[in-house]
Amino acid sequence: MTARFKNCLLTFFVLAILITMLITMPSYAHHSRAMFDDSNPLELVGTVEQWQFTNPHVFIILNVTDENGESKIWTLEGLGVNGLVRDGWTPETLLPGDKIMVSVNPLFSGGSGGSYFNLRWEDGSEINPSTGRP
Amino acid sequence: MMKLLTKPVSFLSAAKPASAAVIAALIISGCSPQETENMQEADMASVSSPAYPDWHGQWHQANQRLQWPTQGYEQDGPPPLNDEYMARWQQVRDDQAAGIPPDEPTQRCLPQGMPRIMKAVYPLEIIITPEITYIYAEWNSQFRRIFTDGRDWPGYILPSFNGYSIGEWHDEDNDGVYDALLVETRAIKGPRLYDGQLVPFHDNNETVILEEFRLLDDMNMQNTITSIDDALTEPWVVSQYYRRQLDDIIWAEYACMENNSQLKLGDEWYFINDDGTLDPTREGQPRLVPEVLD
Repeated sequence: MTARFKNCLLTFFVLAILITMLITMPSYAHHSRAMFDDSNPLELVGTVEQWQFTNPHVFIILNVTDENGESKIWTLEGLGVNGLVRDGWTPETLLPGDKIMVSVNPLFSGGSGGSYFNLRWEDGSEINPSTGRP
Repeated sequence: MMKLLTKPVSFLSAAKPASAAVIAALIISGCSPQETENMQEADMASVSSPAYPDWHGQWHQANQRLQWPTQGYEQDGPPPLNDEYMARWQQVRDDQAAGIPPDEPTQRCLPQGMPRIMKAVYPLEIIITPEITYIYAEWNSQFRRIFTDGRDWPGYILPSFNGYSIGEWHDEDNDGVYDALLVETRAIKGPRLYDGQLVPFHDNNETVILEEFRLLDDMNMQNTITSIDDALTEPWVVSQYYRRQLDDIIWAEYACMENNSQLKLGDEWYFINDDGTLDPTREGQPRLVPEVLD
């Protein structure tokens, strides 16, 4: 494989990741995203405490344990019910105790809140509400 | 300020008195009952109003103008704001880029108002009756009433976020079915913004909005929206497109105060955590903990 071909492949994958992120980013109607740091997303793995299927945004209350064994509750904002329900999401899509992985645009202030996207089960598989729970 | 529909006249309301007058004249002139009936039918056919169109179903935003990154009407060209309001708009955008949330009315769960409601962030339903066409907007579960009964503007209109709308139906291709609804909306309350791009209206809230609804085909509709506002140097004309869904329709409630995580205290926005504590939304803001949680 030539260096030029490797560079092409690398460029392709970087672009693919960026495009995927843009597609999976939440669309926002209700409020500005100025408070969220969209440039530095976090990856969180944790246990669902609550799945609040509410407007103007749904929320995941996620219990995340860090490498020191300390747990922290994150308040993670998603889209609105009205868009999600048309894609098959319901109040039962997530249940307390579910282990999930999620990308988060955190609050600029450094608090344990943010805007989530790219929601997956703990093993990295897609959460697809139309196919039901695993 | 330009107002295009100064005294709307409904085709329906104009037709009825004309028909009655012709029938009365025929009876007075001594025509036989059969002649009168035949002429009456001919008269009714010649003056009958076009039928109302079938615009049922669920209408979705078709041109994706409020996705993230937020895209607004300025895609069609910059808004023709005057210098004062252009400077205001620039300041708000600069603040936002610096991480300072703008004073976005919908963030406080205020209705988005006219014309922003017609962006159809969540879908619309159009319910046509001869006297009123209702537009239901799922965002904030709200109705607009467009009066098509030929009324004139009332002497006083209590301002409201969606304003007071009078419309006229037109059969532009003369096929016997109305195909265009022209609407003028006045008495629109503030605060409002055009969309998530934060383009402002004048503080005087004397905006007048003109709309022209037309089907492009059975499944697609165009709404040409003209905003007349003292913050503009000329009327701002944009187009919003809607795509119809007829099957497997889902309507969902939208109650904005159900779980709004956004709280404005003074000039500062805070993010409400699930435990009730308030996180700052930008660097330099103090973290607030309500006394009840101490």
